[in-house]
Amino acid sequence: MKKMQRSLSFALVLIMMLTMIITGCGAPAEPAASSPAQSASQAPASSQAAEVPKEQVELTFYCVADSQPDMQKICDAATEYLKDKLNVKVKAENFGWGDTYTPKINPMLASGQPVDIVFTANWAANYRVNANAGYFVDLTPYLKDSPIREIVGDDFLNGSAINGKNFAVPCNKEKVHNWGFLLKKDLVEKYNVDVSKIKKMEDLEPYFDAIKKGEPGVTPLLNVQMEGPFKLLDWDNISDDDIPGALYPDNRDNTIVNQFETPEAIAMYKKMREYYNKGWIHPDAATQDNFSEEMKTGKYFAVVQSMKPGKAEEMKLSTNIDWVQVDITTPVMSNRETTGALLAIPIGSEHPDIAFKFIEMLYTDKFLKNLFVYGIEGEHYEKVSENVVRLTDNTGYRAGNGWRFGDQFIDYLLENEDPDKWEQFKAYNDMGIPMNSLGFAFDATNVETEIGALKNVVQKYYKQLFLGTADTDSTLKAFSEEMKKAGVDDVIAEMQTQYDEWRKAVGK
Amino acid sequence: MMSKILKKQGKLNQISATGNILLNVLFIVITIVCMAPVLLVLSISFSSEEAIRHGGYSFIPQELSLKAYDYVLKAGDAIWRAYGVSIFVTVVGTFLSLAIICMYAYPLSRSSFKAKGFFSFLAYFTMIFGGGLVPWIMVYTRLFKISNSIWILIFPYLMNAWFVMIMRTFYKTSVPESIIESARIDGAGEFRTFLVIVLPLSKAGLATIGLFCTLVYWNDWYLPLMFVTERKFFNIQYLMYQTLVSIQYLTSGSAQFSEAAVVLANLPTESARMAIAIISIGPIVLAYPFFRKYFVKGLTIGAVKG
Amino acid sequence: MNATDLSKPRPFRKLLKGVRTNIAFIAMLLPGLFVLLINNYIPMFGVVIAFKRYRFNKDFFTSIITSEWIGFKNFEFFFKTPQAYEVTRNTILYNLVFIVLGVVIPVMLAIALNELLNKKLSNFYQSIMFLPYFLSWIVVSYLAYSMLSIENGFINRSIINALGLESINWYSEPRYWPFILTFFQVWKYTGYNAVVYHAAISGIDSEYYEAAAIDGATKWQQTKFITIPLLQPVIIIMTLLAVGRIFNADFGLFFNVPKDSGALYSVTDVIDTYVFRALRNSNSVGMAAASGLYQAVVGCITVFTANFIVRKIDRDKALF
Repeated sequence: MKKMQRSLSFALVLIMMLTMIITGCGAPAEPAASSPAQSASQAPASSQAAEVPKEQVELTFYCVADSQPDMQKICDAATEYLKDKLNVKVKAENFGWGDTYTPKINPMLASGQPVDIVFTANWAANYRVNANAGYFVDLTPYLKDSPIREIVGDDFLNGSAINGKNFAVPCNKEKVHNWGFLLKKDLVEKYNVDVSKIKKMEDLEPYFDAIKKGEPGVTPLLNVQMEGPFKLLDWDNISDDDIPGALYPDNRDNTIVNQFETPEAIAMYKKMREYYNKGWIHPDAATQDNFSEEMKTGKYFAVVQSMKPGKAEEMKLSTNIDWVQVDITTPVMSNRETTGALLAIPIGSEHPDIAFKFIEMLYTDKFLKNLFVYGIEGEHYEKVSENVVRLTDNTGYRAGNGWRFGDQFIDYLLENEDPDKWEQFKAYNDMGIPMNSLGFAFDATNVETEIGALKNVVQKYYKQLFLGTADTDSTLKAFSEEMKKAGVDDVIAEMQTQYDEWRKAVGK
Repeated sequence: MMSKILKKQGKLNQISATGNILLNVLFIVITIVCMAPVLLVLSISFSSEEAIRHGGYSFIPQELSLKAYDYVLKAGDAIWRAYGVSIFVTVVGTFLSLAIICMYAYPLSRSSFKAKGFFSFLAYFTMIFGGGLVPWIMVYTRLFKISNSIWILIFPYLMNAWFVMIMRTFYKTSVPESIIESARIDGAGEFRTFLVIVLPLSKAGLATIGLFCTLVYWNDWYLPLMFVTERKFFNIQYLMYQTLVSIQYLTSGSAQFSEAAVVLANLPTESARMAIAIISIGPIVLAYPFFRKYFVKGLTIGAVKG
Repeated sequence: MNATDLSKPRPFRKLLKGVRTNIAFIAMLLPGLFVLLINNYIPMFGVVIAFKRYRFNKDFFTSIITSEWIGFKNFEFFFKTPQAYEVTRNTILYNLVFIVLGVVIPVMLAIALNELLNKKLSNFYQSIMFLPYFLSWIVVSYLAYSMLSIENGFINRSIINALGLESINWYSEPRYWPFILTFFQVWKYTGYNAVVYHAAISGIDSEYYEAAAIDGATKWQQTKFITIPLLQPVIIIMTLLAVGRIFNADFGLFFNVPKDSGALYSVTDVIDTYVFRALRNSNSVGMAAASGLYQAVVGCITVFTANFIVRKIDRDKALF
């Protein structure tokens, strides 16, 4: 034991000493370290220099969307195509949607894994939180003379910036959103659903009932994690979706509220509880975690999605199911779009310059962009005309969702899609009501720990409420109490202060 | 002598026949409880989707179907690949960690080695104190950059303080110091003594630790969860984990399934998941009988007498 | 001996000499030391992250060094959340139950195994009981799911519905989970522990029992006065090791079996899963590090205390 004690004290002293050496002494010398993304401060190598790097480097690109069987083929094709352009070996992978994607990406960012490009948004991989924490390279200097500036437009670039710095590049897509349902087409026809008469969720109730009774094995309403009718409330969230703090989506005032505790939200929880008890929501909803996977099984009638022109046709590509589109909420233009789909370069990346060039090509290079959307020509799709393609029977690559990166307006159109799709997008963009908060970017630095704690609380409770799997009143009570303890009031007060200051500054 | 006579004389110290029957009944119940969940999964894997939808999961397949296995075998690529990764990692990992653990434990068992307390402590301390998740991940991803490689699935489990303790006790009790002494007098070096004399005497200990290591590697899903993003390094356990989330992982990279347009709705998703579980259990259960003979002995000496 | 050697301080020379005489042993230790260094000791520097506002910066050491000191703010925050109490309570209570059941049930079974008249049957039972030990927690979570799924699960469909009752939504009803988790833990480890204890019992010299039997001792008395006292050292060691890890939950069990269902967190969330989620869902590295350090330090204190108490009672039985 004596010996053990001596060993112990020796080991402890050793650890203490080493810890002091490597941490204590270094700390005061570099106070600047706390500002986000300072390591990106070295200016990017001139982005004009078009020369091909001599040595092939690996470029990892992680994105949302379901994992695709033929991903390797796409990577090989991209590598081949880029050989005399960027000379990179592309390693791309999809990790599923939102709640499956985020947990995969977060630890990578925190531990600084050498990843080159990741997808991020307000609903996936916590764009604001991670940007604030300095996990993304500051792309402002890169964007200065980039063609992206013109393609995306200053409104989007500024809208997605944090304290005037762009930590990610927004995709060029529709700039407006609204929410609605996708209904499974065969069931719509079978049950004679008059789509034009459906103005709110309640209008679907008779059909839910009929389908529950008439279609064994089909669940009327798909509700998985955050993807469900709660979205129809369309909160203008100040930060990410799972952080309290939002404005009403109709510009009624400038008071930030805790959207999870509003009367509207509570009514929605009660409704969901009712639906759940009626069997309109899948009984295993609490443990389902792959929204898109469930959608593809074809065992659901109604699915809540964010809408835009041609959404149903777009979803046919990734789900292989025919849908009918029903719009519910009015189109608005909010920060949800500016931070709705972004590509960022993690700070662990070893080749940020090349990574940025790759991102740039997703905006400017039609071949590369469509390769990641539709796959390989002649294998996964065939060209019908210059800009229109037809899918083949090969389902090895069905990523679709061209809005995830780059410029969606250079995507090919599918045969079933309206040839005017991009024109409609423009019209749709004009329809949107701009939110008061458009352009406001919350800086979470002062309440970082509170937000971390709140996220944990929200993760613990939201499913029971959003999916109706547990008693509403008691759950809500516990939820409110824990949010309070985790500092929700401080967070919302901080948001309000920043928001008011911002409004003063921009004169809104 | 006494005991032999007693044994011959009869059943002085045995339980009664009724007692024996009662105990057997107890153990039959326990055996059933141990087997039941596995049998249920086995039964599901042989059930048709239709039957599952109508009757739920049950112990006797209402409608026997091999569709799940057919599907899993056809969807092969991903599964066989993961299987291969698991086998490689298990074989190489077990071999390496067994070697490292045995070598580490040996000096600690020798009374002539003065610093054994310190080195035991170095190993033991890791069992009770750790630096946390993030630093641990960072060491592999940033310092050594071996995430997304086969080695990340092997390296972190190479040392195990608990196994070192078992092995040390095993050496102490089953390899008499006198034999080592006499080998030294014959002029054998420490390494030679270790290889030629000590190891052959420790077969049961090696088998025990070997089985433990095999289990650690075969059943691991944590390392791929933390470190691996590339599909080619998924092992079978992690593939199962992914399959719970997305059945599509199965068909990843499979020619048969990308050629024909397969609607997900028609796949035997429920039973296929269970079929993979059954397939993943296979080798480890088959390996057990080979280890069993030594295993109990090794455990007795290593864990019990310590 | 040359001049440089002489100038070295004595302890160093002693160390050198020690290394020289034990060079073979040291060589044997080296591979293991290398793994320990990388896998365990280098990451230990990371504990300082708990006292910093963590910012990733270039590489491992630089990140640790350049992050800003914030004292105990991470801890303050962790302890302010209701989860701090909840996860600590869950971790300790579950482990206590597991420790007690992990001794009582296997020892009873081991004694019973030893009494069985037919040794072949005894071996057979042992082999079957051992089976769950071979299964990974992923497989166990599949097993649990096949029992508990609300849509198709065996218990709901074949038992509860057959009795004419409403299906129970297992994955959102916290009150059942302490039992479910305990069941699967016991299910997985009982066989293994029983085999260990059985091995220990069969190591006891049978003459003790025979002598006792001649003196007219009943089975119960034999168990009480021979088996249990002779098993005591094994039980103490196994328990001590378990007590030392009382702050470390079996991550596989708590992460996989409840399928990460938020409704169950109040009874299924333990420190390990909390740390993991803090990192995965919200990237709060500082808080993850703080709760992890808290776990390690308290665990460390527990094991030394437990060992100290055992030493007070019986010197020989202590771990170190």
